[in-house]
Amino acid sequence: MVRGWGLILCAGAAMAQGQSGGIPDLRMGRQFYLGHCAQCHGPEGEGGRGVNLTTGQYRLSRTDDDLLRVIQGGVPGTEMPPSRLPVSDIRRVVEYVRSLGAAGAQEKAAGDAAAGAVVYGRLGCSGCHVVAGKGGSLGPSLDSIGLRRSLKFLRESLVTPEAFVAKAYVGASAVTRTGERVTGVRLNEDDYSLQIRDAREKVHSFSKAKLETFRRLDSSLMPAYGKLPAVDLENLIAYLSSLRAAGE
Amino acid sequence: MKILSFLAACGMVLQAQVPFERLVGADSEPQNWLTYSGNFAGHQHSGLKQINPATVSKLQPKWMYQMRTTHKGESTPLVVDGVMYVTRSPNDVIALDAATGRKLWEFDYKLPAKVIVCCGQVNRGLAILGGHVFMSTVDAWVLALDARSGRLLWKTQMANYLDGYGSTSAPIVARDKLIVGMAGGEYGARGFIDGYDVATGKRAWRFYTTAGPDDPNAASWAGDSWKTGGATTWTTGAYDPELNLVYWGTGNPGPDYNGDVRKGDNLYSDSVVALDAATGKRKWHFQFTPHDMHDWDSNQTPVLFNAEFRGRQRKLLMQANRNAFFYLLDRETGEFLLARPYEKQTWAKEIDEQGRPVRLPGTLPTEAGVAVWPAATGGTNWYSPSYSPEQKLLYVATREEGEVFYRAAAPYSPGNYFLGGEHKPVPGEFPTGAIRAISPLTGEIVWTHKLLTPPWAGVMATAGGLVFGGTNEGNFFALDGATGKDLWHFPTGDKITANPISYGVDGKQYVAIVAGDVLISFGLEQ
Ligand code: HEC
Ligand code: HEC
Repeated sequence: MVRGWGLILCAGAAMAQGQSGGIPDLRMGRQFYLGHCAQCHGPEGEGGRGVNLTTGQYRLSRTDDDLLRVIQGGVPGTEMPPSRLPVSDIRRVVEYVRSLGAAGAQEKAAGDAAAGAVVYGRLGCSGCHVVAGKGGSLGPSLDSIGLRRSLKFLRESLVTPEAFVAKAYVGASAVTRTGERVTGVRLNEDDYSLQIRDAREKVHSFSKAKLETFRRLDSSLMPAYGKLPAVDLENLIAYLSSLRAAGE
Repeated sequence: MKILSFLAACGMVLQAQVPFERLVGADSEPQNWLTYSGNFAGHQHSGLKQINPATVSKLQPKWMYQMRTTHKGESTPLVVDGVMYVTRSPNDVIALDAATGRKLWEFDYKLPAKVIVCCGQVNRGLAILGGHVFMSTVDAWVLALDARSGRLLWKTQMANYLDGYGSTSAPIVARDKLIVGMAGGEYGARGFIDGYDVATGKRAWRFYTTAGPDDPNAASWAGDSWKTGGATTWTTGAYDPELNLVYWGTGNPGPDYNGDVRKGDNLYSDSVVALDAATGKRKWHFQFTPHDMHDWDSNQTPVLFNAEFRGRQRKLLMQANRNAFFYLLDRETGEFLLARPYEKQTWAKEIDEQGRPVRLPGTLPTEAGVAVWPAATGGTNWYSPSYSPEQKLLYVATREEGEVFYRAAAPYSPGNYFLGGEHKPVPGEFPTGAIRAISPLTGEIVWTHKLLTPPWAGVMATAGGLVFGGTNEGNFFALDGATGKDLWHFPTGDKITANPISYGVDGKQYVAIVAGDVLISFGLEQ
């Protein structure tokens, strides 16, 4: 085994060099970032479904090697995916992520979290979401939403919820032969049947052959809150951002 | 059914003697399933008729065999005179009474701790000849077992698994040669097809599927890139005993998504090669996707049939290729006859008169990613298509799915991924699938049965007029072969990633499939 090492490394280096063709690592890193990461972390690292990367602060990483490991392996149980890029290219991405973090931006909501909690209660968000063990289950639990999501994403979730709908919460709508319409979360589906959880959390199972129509919804089952007074919206975002229960 | 019960009554359990002539004449004993594809021509078709559109509503499970493995079930069983031989992934072999599912013997094979495979430690099936059952292994060995007992008869090493070599497909027997393919195309392995002496296991020949310096097509690889060029041979081919030619599909060139280090057409990647079964010498080749950068292996089992084409009786070969085009070739000469898309594709303007694709601009992988249909998994994949001589249709389980293709550096080191990029879902796409019936002489689609998601199971047509298939959601189903009408289904409870087969015992027809890690055999309610 040991005998082979020198050779392997040399061959690898020679081929890798042939690839980048003299393009500086940081620029290559940005190319990879735009292709592989920007859809979740934003084109400038400002965040999206993934965390804001312009703060230079990471929940799970401190060193470059930590970052390399996270980018290579993903964060299991979250949307952060593993990458099959070769290590040489991941290093370029790490370098680029570091350059984003150099901005040292603050990811701090402008509103007042305590006031936001009141808005949360008033608007009946808990009808569909669990926080600290209380609430409904049509939508996802918000217990650690502040850890997982950027401020940009939280705002978007409230104003244009249809912009991103996680696979487990895609909506479906079915109309029976007797004209009854059922809309809710698509719990499961195959070629012959469809299972839906409606807004009252009642579960329906339909044989497709016996339905008048059925379809998957492009919209979100969550109401849009874009018309909320600006203060309420800011406070609500601050409240969501403060929800950082660990262990999820 | 008379012949069927007569033969079954004579069949002596565990006395399997399957001379080569029986393999050649497999179509004349439809109660058996003697080779991976049911016959040498790759038809994946059953001549049995008891289960048909009029009776299929009475189809129900007769027995199940729980494999209890955590590995994927991709095995196609063989059936010989009432005995079923099936592999349990990675590389165990089990003989069962085909009427009851009761186990007769078991051969357990231990893999080394660290084997290297891209897509699961799987095995897809066996070959049989005389009293020998043959299997190739994930760690690149070829084994012969005694069909009566499962005792190991001989064992030959194909290659070193530590360098990324392995084998996952069923071998086929061509007279006195066992033809075996290999895998490792994501690790910079160099592809080959081997011929072994069936009696001794001694290797008689090897055909390398990347053209090295001693091959007339060596110029199709820049520099030394042929050494790590992939073109692996990981799905079972077809065989024409009259021409004594073996037809085998080859995989993608490596690295998969970055062609810079392997300029040229990269022969014989993404091709079908016709080899003399006695010597392994190449008679002809046809390349579907020259200088591929989308991982469009051409390993799908080629399907052989004879028909009149453009005024002349011809020996033909067809393949619904992973690149989303259906191809028809002359199997004596390799001449390209026609091509036509059978699934959504956005990469080629057309296939020209020589059979070369005319690529559309902006479809090759980049660092920032390019969305292309079909996905790396293709318009179809390794699982078998089926040809019905009754309907004169080719049935294919197809995948309507695009992917974003990325380019990256491609450093090579033995036993590690050699990809040169990545591929990821197209944001917002809900990929779907279908069973399509294709008219072989025109490539036209005669009917389409849509599926919710892109399937991973093969299809089987029967003389009874049905087409069986499976879904990711676990439904095993039967369609009307003439129209595509959905006639029957059974929810097995796990993703189906295998080919169905059919066989008969005591005058009763069965249909069997591996679903998840459970082998289920269905028959008519009595
Ligand atoms: C599909 C969305 C998605 C993609 C694509 C994605 N990420 Fe993430 N990323 C996330 C989410 C969500 C998290 C938060 C995970 C958690 O809960 O800690 C995250 C976390 C991170 C972190 C923080 C790690 C830590 O130590 O806390 C880094 C750094 C990161 N991603 C970098 C990247 C890079 C670089 C890429 C591209 C190669 C990438 N991500 C691609 C969604 C994504
Ligand atoms: C009628 C039920 C319903 C109500 C009421 C509702 N939501 Fe939602 N919410 C959902 C569903 C379903 C989803 C998942 C689909 C989506 O992401 O659009 C969701 C998603 C979210 C998300 C994104 C979660 C993630 O990680 O992807 C946030 C944040 C959120 N809701 C916050 C709120 C807040 C704050 C309120 C009250 C102002 C609220 N929701 C009211 C049903 C609801």
